[in-house]
Amino acid sequence: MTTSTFITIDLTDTTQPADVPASSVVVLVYRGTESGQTLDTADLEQAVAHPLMAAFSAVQHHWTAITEARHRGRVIVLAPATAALGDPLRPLDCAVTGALISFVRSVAIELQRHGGAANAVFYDTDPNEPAVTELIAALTAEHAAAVTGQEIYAANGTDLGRLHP
Amino acid sequence: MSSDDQRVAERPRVAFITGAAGGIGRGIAEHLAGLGYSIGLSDISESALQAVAEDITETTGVAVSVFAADLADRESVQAAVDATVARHGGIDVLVNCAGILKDARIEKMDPAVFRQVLDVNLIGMLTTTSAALPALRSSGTGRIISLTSRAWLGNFGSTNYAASKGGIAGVSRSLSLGLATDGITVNCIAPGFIETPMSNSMPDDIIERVRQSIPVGRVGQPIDVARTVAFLADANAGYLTGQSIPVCGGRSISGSMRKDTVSS
Repeated sequence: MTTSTFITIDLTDTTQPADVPASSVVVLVYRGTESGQTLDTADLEQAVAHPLMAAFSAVQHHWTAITEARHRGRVIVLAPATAALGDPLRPLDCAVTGALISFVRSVAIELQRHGGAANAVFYDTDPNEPAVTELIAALTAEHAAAVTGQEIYAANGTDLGRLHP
Repeated sequence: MSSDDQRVAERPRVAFITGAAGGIGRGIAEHLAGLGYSIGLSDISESALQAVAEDITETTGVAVSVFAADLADRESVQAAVDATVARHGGIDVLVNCAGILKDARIEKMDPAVFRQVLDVNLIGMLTTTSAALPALRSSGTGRIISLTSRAWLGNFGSTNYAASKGGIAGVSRSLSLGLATDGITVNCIAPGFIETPMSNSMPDDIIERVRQSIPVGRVGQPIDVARTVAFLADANAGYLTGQSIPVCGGRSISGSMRKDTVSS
C-alpha cells in the first residue's frame, strides 16, 4: 500500500512557491475576499483571474502524481457556501466559486478514467472547522473514489431551502 | 396589470448582444429584431458584424447598429455600450453571448490558452455587464441574459471553458440578488449542442454520436436558444431571476459523452 501525499493550496496567495513536490491529494482553498464588491471598480485580474489560474496551475502541476495514485488521487475545492449559493455583496467571489464548481466537475470527468475523484466542499465561516476537516478526511479515504464530481455543503444548514448550483 | 406592465417603455426595447457575429448570437439578434427590438451588435470583427446587420435589416426592416469591441479591453467595451445608448436611447436587454472554445486535456492545456478562454468568456462578461449596468438600471425592466453552456455541468477536456461558464453562472446568482430591486433580472441559458458554423466543423461521426445522445433526437438550432432569450428579455418577465436554464434537448439529465469529443 502506497501513502498518499497531501498538499493544501490557498488560491488567493500570490506567493506560491514555483516548485513544490508533487502530491496525489490536492486541496484548493478559496476563502473569498472582502464584502461590498462592485464590478466597475474591481481589479478583475487579482480578484478573479488570479485564483482561477492558481487552481488550474496547481492541478496541472500535480496531475501526474494525482493520476498515478489511481484510486487514491484526489482534487478537492474548498470554498465559502455563501459564494456558491449567491451573495449579493460578493459578486466576484461568486464568479470565482462558480468557476471552481464547474472546473472541479470537469476535473472529475478527466480523473475518472484514472480512478481518482474530484469534489467541492463548501463551508459556513471557517474552512478549518471540524465538520469540514472530517468531510475532507472521508473524501480522501482510500475507498471513497466513487464519490466524485459532487458539491457537498458542510455549512451548518445555511444552504437549506436554497437552490444549489 | 403588473408593475412590469406599467413600466414598459414607450420606445422599442433595445438589446445589446455580444458575440453577435457567431451562430447563436446572430440567431438571437435575428429573432429579437423580428420581435421589434432595436438592436446593437458587438463582436471583435466589424466586417462580420456588418454582414449580420445588413441581413437583419433586409429581412426585418429593423435598424441595427454594430460596434466592434474586444471584450478583453474594458475601454473598448465601454465605448461600444456608450455608443449603443447614444444611438438607441438606452439598453434594456444585455445578451452576453461572446465566447471562445479551446479544449485540451489537463496535461496538455497551455496555461496561456486557459487564461485566454477565461479572459474572453468570463472577464469579458463581467466587463460588459459592468459597462451596461447604468443603462439597465435606467430601463426599469433591465434584463441580463448570459449564455453559459451545458459544459457548466462539467465536460471532458474543457476545464477552461467549463470554469469560464461556471463563473458566469456564479456571478449571475449574485447579481440577480443584488439587482432585484432595480427591476433587473439576471439569468443564464445553458445551451447544449447547437448547430452553428463552429459545431459543423466537427467530424460527422462525432456529430452523429452527439445527436444520438440527445433525448429529443435532434441537435439544437440557434432559434431554440433565441426563443428562450426572447422569453427572458420580455419586459413582463420580471419574476424570473437568478436561474440557469438548460436548452439542450434533455441531454443535461440524460448523461453525456465524455471521451473522444475533443481532438487534443
